[in-house]
Amino acid sequence: MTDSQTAEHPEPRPIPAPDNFPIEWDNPEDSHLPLNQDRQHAPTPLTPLSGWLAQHHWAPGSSVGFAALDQPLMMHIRRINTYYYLAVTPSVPMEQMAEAGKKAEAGLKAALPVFADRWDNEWLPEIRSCHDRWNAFDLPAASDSELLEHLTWTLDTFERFWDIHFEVMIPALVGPSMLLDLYSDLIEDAGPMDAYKLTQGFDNTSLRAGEDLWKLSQTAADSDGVKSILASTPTGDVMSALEKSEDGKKLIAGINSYAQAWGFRSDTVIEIGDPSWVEDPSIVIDTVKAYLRDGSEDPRKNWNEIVAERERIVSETREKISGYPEPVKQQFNGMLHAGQQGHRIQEDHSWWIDQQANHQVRKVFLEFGNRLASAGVISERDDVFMLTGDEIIESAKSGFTGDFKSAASERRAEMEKWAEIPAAPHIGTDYGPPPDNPVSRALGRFFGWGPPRDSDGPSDLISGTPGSSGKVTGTARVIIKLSDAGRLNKGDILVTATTSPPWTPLFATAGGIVTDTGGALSHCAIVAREYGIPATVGAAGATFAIKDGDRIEVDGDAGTVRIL
Amino acid sequence: MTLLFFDDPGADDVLLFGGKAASLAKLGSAARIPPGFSISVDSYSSWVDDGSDQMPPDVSAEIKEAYKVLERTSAVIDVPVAVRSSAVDEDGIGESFAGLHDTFLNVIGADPVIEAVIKCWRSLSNQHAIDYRVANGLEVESARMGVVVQQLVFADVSAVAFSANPISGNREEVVINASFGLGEAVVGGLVTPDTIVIKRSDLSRQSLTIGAKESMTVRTENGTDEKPVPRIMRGMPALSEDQATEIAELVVKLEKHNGWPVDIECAIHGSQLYLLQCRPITTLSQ
Repeated sequence: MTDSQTAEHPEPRPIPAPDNFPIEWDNPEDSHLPLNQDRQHAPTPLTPLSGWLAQHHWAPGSSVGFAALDQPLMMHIRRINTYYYLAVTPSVPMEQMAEAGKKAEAGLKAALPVFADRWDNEWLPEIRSCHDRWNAFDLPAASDSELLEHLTWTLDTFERFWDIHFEVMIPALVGPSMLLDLYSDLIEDAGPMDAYKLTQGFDNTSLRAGEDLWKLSQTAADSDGVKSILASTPTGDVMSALEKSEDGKKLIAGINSYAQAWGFRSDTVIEIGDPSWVEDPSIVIDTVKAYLRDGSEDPRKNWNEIVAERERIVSETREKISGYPEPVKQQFNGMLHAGQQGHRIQEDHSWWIDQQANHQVRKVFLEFGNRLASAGVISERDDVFMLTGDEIIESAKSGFTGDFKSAASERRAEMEKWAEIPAAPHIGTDYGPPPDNPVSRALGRFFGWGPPRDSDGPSDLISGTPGSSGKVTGTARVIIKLSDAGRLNKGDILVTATTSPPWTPLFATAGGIVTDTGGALSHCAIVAREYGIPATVGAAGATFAIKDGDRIEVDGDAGTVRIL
Repeated sequence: MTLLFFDDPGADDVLLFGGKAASLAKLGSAARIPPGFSISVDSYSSWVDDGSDQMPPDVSAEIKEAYKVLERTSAVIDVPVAVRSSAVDEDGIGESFAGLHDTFLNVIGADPVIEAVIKCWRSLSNQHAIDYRVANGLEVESARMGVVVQQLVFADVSAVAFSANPISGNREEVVINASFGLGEAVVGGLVTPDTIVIKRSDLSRQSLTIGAKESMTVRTENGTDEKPVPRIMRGMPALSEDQATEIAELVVKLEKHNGWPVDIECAIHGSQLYLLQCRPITTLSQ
């Protein structure tokens, strides 16, 4: 073997586990996986049921999606010490990789021009019809066997959703990522965030959910009585206080209809143990309270400028390459389309797949929770999330028998124990850096993978990735759970582990965003650009280094945060 | 005589217009070439005799008129042109002057064309050209120069093609080098182009080697510039299979037409293939 071959395929190296994070592998084979903690999708300990669902249904569905695009990749999910880990491995032996790589390139090339049309005309209609079926199913009325049958269909459908998820999301991520590469090759004097402006200003479900919530707050703003209730009543008592007046009833109706329209979502997109907003509208109420308290502005107020800025930079780029060969211009047009559509679909797929499907699966398991609790298998309904799917199915098949009461409380205690210990970011086996290809570059830009950052710099300066242009100074609010977001005041800097789409209505209140995880193509960065607020993403350790109440400065172009 | 259009009778006179101009005039019957005109060595001589830096007024007046005609025949106002040197002793069978004299691309307007023509005339006496003539035993003092003014095709892809393999000498192989953009990068050896080998007898493709295609010649407001080929395009073949076959057919046809193995430059713009130059292969062993 020559030196260059060694450099390409370094010897696999077991990653030593930190002393406070010892690992006992359920299956010793798993220690060969290159597992990364996915803090972007699940920063905190995961319930056993969510872990089971992700490992046995999400990951296999994802691998089907990769295969449909001829990508020689497999997805693995593991719940290790209650944390959520993800590994992407080759699906073919190394010696077939060159051939598989060519096929993968052709598969991507074929997918890039059509993925947006397929999403609109093929996949989204399929997804909608599945949601219709879920919504029409009368869970409490179902017999035990009907419920089990419904669960089988639910899990199959969930798996199919994750197949669609990756079939659409690989091109939807690669398109914007290739556009960035193309733009930086074409425009030598490009600013770091210029290329992202090419894709901004397209409507998506994250923006509409935020806009509708702000509009709801404005209906409350018209009534002084309602405003004073919201200002002085603890969130949990707001609904009963509102019942007492006509204006209050109107707002209740508004909150309920918002929850019906957008409430099939919770904090993150992997955990199904958290209540969705339709079950508990506290987050809706907290956000409305924050909007009213600080006199927030219409999240769309800058929309026309954001769109105009995009059009300006698109035509400026076209002008700059007007003397270039036609194939280059065609590449630009093709990638521009793929990039713009990719951004829209990145938010929309999350709403239709990640958020709503989680809610649907949660609802089905809650019904199992009701029956397990009435049968005395568990103490209370929500303990169902402390069981694995296999345990639930087995118990249900034998007429809801068995006893998981102590197991449930032990597992809950285990989650609480691990919540205090930071998860090791990488475990299992290290195979060296991933190969440089369009897919791995795109995934890197989404997850915020990259070379280790310089840690020799001054300790008051935290480096991350530029997420959204601009510089802002404000008070840091370190918020890890959305239920804690009521503390965010107008102009505060939201410092958090990750922001999945349900968090984005907070962007109308926040002056800037800092996240521990994610890259320039993450949900957070995309939506921050649409709101026009500065964001530094993937600033590893920010939520530890920055203390709640610190004055900090976010520089979204440099991708840094300074503690003042 | 000051100048003639390529399709005018007599435009193929090597002694009057130089090698490049004469061969272009002959090509018109065999392939599609961009329209243009050739300025005679007489015009060059009258400039030399004048001893002035300026172009003799009668010559410049005719060039201005010819440029207007070119605007009409090409149906392009301010038609961009290439202005190329065409020395009498260059491009003759046996010698190749490739790139020794000046060439100006994307020249727009009659006055800039006149300036470019004067620069071409001056390049007859540049040191490289003199050294080359001396080394090849050609006359230096009596060398004379024509100039070609030709509509510039904004090539999407440029190619150099040989009706025989110029390296191995294999007469059964057509070899094509191709890369994105105008031809300068390919002809000037600034890039590693794609290499396609095609079997002459049945035009089947023998091999395609993707080159690194590091840079491409692009148009600027009043000239050209070298820009990097975007990374995502370097691995893509510059020519489609059909385009490569069309080029192979053309070189085979030109070899038959001329009676000697040829080396051509061509350009693809939109769906159209243009022949820009055709010379004998000078490196082939007899």
